[in-house]
Amino acid sequence: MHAFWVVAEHSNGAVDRVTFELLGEARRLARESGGKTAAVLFGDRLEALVPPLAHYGADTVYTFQDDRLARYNPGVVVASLGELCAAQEPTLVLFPATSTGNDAAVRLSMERNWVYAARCVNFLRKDGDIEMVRPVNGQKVHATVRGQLAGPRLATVIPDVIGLDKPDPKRTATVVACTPVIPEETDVEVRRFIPGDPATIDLREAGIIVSAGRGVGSRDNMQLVYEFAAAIGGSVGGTRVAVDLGWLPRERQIGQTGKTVTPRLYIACGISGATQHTLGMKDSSTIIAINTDPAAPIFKIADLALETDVRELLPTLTQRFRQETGRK
Amino acid sequence: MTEATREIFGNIPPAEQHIFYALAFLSLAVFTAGLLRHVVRWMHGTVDWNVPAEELPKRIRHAFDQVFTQPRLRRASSSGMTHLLIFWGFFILFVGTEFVAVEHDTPLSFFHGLFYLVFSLAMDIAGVVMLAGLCLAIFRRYFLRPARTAGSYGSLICLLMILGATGFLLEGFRMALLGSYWFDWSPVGALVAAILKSFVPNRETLAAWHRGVWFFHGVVTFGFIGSMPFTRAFHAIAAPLNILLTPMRPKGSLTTPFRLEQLEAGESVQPAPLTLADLNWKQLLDSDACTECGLCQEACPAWAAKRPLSPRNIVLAVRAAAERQAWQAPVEKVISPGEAWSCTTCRACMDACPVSIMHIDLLVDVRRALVMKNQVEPNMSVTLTNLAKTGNAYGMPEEQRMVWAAGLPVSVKVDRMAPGADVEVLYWVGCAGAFEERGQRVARAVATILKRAGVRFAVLGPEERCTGDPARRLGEEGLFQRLARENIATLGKHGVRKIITQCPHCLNTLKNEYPVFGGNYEVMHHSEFISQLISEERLKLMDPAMAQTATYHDSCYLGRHNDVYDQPRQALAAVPGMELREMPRSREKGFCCGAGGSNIWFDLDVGTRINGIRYDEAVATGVQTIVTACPFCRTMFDDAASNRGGTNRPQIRDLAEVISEVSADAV
Repeated sequence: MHAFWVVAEHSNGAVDRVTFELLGEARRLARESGGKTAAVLFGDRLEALVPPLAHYGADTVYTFQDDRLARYNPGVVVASLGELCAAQEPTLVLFPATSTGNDAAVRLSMERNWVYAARCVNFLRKDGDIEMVRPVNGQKVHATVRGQLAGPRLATVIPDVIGLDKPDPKRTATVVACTPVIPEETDVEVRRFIPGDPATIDLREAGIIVSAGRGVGSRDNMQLVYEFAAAIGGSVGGTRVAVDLGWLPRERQIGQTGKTVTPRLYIACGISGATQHTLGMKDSSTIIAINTDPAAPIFKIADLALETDVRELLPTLTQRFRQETGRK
Repeated sequence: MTEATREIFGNIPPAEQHIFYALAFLSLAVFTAGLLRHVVRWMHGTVDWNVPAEELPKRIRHAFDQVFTQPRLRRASSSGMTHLLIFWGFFILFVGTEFVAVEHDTPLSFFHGLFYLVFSLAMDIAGVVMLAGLCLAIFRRYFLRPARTAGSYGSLICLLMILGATGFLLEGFRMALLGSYWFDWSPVGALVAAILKSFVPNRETLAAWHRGVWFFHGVVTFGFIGSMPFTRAFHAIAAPLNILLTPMRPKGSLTTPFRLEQLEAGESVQPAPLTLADLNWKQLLDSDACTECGLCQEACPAWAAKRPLSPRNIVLAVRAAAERQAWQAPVEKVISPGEAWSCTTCRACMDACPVSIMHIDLLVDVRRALVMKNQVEPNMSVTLTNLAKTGNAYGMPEEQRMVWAAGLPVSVKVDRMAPGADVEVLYWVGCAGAFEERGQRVARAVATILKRAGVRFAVLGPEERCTGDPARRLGEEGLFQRLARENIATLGKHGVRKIITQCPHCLNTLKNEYPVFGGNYEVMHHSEFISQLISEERLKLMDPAMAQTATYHDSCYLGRHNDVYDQPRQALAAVPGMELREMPRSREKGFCCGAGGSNIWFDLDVGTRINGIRYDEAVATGVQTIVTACPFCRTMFDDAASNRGGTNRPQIRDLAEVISEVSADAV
């Protein structure tokens, strides 16, 4: 019987969204082939993480609980996962295409000589095997990867591509507690994680962008934008005009002659929405536009249109978010 | 009375005559060797192009015009007149001196009678003209000190000064010594002779001075001739040659380094010059012909915006590298990527260049090399990827090519081209008209005008692709040809003969670049067509009830590249109550908006903004409306306007929007 596995990722005591996306994909494949799904969990405290994995479609949850797994530990993960896969023979093992997911998948593939495809966007069943689809040549074309070796297929999946299924809170999963395999020697030790600072990361990697246009009014008012962005954990970008006026450095420019961004949330502050700007952000998942001009073209592509002055709205919002989240 | 003539080599002993001939041959030998050195250098270039023989008569006419009337130099104010004086003076003296040689050294003899008299007078006048020009040049160069002076011409000016002055001195001594009945025909010589006589009454001394000055004049002349190929004086040879041999492609077209068919046939092609030796012979000749006058730099918008490009410097960089024999130097080491990407291909430099240098070809060749080596900025690759994936630089889905028409009233129904349809013109909407919010409004204005004038038109809709202009001007020739091929096939399928474009870049590519690939159409810009509709009274304009003031900005690809200057102005002038004001730089001298050559798709993080310079110039006319006829110009003006901010600023509108507003429904 086919089995489709997802190596779960979690942070701050909660399962990451991308893991749920992968579970949805695993469930689809299992449903089509009459197979089963499973999630694999590594960590030091895992009890609370099992139910959400079940809600999003895991039939079985394999847990590796150990104090040495408080942080990502490639030696233990690869050895444990390798043993488990060798014993259970899953068809496909999915990893999120994150820094840790990529690392684990590549190491496992190298150690066991299993087929691996990076940054996939789709999976097809063919002749009892799985074909893995991934964009190549700057996303110009899609390549289909088919394995010729025995063993499970390993794949990383780009976050935010597959999308979330509706969770079913009534579902439960069988929990299989496993003993971690501790390799005798290890070449990698993870000492600490340094999260990206929204204020400095590249805009193309930002999840939330607060973007400023001429409607912000003045260089001084940019402070309102920065404060709001800090309060909601967003990165600040802007239009070409905002950059030309010296409100923002050039690397913060979004649009035709700046960067093309696709954040989960794009908040356009005082931006009219000329094509030259919208070309660089139109594919954002959710767009909120704040503008005083009801005829502003940005409202045509916005999911939420707020017809008001950013200079009045932003301080209020900032204050509310600070109260809610305790962020400064 | 004897017939007017003169004895050549009068008062010169035979020994000195022999030395004279020896020097003459020596200087000619040095001259020839120097010239050959240049020719050998030109021959290092590739021969991907040669002058077709049938073009020669046209070329010779053109070269004569450029060399003898120098319209481009004269356009450049004071320096033009100065140069023309020196040129004509020198040219007549040069030809006259050849007459002397022919008279003395060949059996031909014509140095007598009226011919001799006219000759004498012409030489005197020419000498004065040349000296006057030289004095003006010195005055301009060392006293006026304008912002632009040509490169190192000080020594050449001095040398010509000495030649001219000693020439007159020599003539004066000869006339004082030998006498002449024909003083009236050599007024300057006679004057100098009279002065000399009053100072040196002794004949013996006069004769000795005459021999001395004669010898000095001769040595300087031969020195000048021999040194020509090694000094700035060489432009007198290379410039006319370069003008004569310059390619006669349509102005707006670029070279075609290879054909897709060649690639498909498995031929190996060279898509771009990778090293200096890969440049063609004409580009090397170009670099030698440069007079360093700096007119190109003065006209260049990139230079004005403090970008790292001077059209003069790139030509001189090629020359310097060729002189160093650095044939294996990569082109992007000779002309830097910053220089190559700074160019807006506005053609101001080429239009200003008195010796027909092709700066744009050179810069686009470097871009082609950079694309081959994958040295492009992220925004450029996004543009190229969009073009390859979606057929438009905006990266929009092709199915949305008709979205612009959705906002039109029912009376203005836009049809898609279909086989056998009764259609007068194809309206080529272009990617800006289809996908850009402001461009869509212009597209609707054009459609409205066409309907009101009763023009039967259709559009290609989703079948239209970018003409390939941005790809070609970014240096991606293969992608350009793919798009061109696709469009030519579509246009052929529908039997299209006449095309109206909204965008001057579409116009230029369809009209000037598609014929090479088998696409031949009558292509007009909307401004040409609208002007025609008005003059034929097919389009009626209403009185807008309010007087308006406007200034018209020349798009480089409509103006300099395609010579459309009058029609947009005529169309605007036809609007009742319209007062047109010109910017200081307009028509042939129009200043670029900064978007051309694909610059609309990327930013250089250097210098100031070209569009800001132009916008300020337009605002300074004090008009209510800045009228453009190009989606990119309009975008650049919009950008500059929101940059400058402020209230009470002029509107920025496309010509079609202005006309559509006052056009009346067909009766």
